[in-house]
Amino acid sequence: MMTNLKVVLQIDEIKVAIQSVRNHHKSFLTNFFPETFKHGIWIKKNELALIMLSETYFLIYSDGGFKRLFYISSGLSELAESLDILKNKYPGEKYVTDLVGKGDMLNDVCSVFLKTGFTLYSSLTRMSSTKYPALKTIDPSVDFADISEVLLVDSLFKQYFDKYTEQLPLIEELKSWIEKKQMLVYRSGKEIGGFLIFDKTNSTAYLRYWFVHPNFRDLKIGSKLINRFFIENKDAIRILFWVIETNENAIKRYKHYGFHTEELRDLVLTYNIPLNER
Amino acid sequence: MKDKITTILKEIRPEFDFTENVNFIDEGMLDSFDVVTLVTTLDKEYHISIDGLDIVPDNFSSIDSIRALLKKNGVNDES
Repeated sequence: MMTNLKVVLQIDEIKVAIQSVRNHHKSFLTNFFPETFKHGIWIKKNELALIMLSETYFLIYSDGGFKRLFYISSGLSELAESLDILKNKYPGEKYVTDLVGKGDMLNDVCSVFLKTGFTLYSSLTRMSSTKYPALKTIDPSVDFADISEVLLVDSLFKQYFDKYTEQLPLIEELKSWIEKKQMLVYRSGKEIGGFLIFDKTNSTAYLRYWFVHPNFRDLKIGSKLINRFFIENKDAIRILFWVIETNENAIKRYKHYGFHTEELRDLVLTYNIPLNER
Repeated sequence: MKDKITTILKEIRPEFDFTENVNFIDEGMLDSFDVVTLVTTLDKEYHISIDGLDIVPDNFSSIDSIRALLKKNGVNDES
């Protein structure tokens, strides 16, 4: 059990932490990028905690058997020192952390974590496009999800998604996407053969999750879902999504559709999570 | 200053037109990662240290709001 953690009660506490780090007038390193809705729920449920160790603030979210670790630090050596303190202060804790960035800075931060004993679990790259393939007609089996389907979708996430690489959405997030008509499902009778979830603004459509049930493979459900996604976001200037870097077939397919890989990468690292638990 | 800000934004997100009169955050032209990148770039470019409490979406939603933030940090309008 982690003691001496302060539960975050308001988002302003994180801003104060950021300010405190920046007051050192050194670098500013972070992997915490505020998502108002999701992090608001974490805070409301008292599930996000904060601890300051040396010149680094760690934000810690309990995520079903492990802790998701975020940092706000004044530099690489400071981060390294703070990670050592964290490791020794709470031996036995299991962490997953996402390092998001580009180039040398990302590699340098990753090195710090690896030297502390973290292991690279997976890596993702972001892909985007500003032009889209020709749109086909809407398949009637693809429609917006209904609120009555939220628990079914949630169970599919828990059963088929990698909880370390993917940040599994909260029920509240799923409900919100359904209400905003940002969750598409392929229905086959009462079953869901696949789903696609996205965020959208006027300019950007962000494909968050895209899933085809193993029992429904080879029915081109994935194509039908993505086609509807393109139709619903035909006015977007940019479409983007994350893809696992080793999934060469998928990357090749997306490039065929006009997407290109960006420099932005997401390295997922774990600490103290045995191979048989992954 | 306005031209320089536009150039910096264009380097971060070349696919968007930052001369449009829209809210960059609401429109999805800048996400939270972009904001962190922008803060780091502005700090380096203008040799300032933007206050952590000022790293909020509203301050990066338009050229004018970014300009106001830079002026708050002592940057001259001709910079």
